[in-house]
Amino acid sequence: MNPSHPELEAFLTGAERRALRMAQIVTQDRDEALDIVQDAMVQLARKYAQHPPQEWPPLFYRIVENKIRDWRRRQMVRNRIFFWRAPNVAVEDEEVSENQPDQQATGADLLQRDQAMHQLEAALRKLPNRQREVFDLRIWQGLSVEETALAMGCSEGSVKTHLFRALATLRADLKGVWP
Amino acid sequence: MNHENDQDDLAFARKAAQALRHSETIDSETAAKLALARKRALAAANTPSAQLRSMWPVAAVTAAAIVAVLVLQPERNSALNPAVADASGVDTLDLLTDDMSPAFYRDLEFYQWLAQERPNA
Repeated sequence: MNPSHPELEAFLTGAERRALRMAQIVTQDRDEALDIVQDAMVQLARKYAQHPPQEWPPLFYRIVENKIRDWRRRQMVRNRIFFWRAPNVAVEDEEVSENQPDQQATGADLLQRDQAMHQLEAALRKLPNRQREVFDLRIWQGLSVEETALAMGCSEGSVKTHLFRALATLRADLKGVWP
Repeated sequence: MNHENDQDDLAFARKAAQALRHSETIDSETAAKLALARKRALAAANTPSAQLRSMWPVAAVTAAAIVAVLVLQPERNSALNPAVADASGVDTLDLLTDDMSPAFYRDLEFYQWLAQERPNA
């Protein structure tokens, strides 16, 4: 047994940013998203560090999606209890990215792209949990249908159905903004 | 029509995935927090409970082997499950697999008694 786990470290390093972004789109709060990702990484390491590395992606994203779903449920309960408060809509920080993309893109292009991204995020938030999960895993993360089914704990047929519905809803919501 | 829809879905999915992957940039403060979280996770992988969990498959195989030995051991099998063997020590497997006629087994106790009565015969 190797106590330093270099393979696991490499996997987590490669997966953490995407997981953070997935969580941040739903929570709209970077600290909440960080908590979700940290909990998911600890859970993966504690329970599955000894599993073969090829099993880690579906397991990790399954944990992440479960934690996002739990967060959503807690928020719903909180919003019901504290109904007089405004819903938790955090203002997204204008992040200073480490590697600024497309330096040559014009301001108008960037603004348009930024608006399109915000609309995509809003549309993703509106999706039912299962449809958003299948979109995250199959389209964004690029897992196979089989891996997505494993990560979601459902059949491959369900994955295809959820994905079909998710894409139809997103395209309808983003008509005119996205192709 | 359906084919066109599929193509449109595919084009949309590709573009959305590309945009989302492109947006996975983080500031240095967040990067530091993620690095710390990763460190904690790797430390968790070395906790005794995590290491014990990794030994479960070995423990399960060992337990299964012990159970198999207990169940398949012939003497114990007879002792644990008397219905399998009758008083003469002949078990069901013998009856099914050898070439002796059923009449032999019917008179088996008589032959055993005879052998005891005439040990030198």
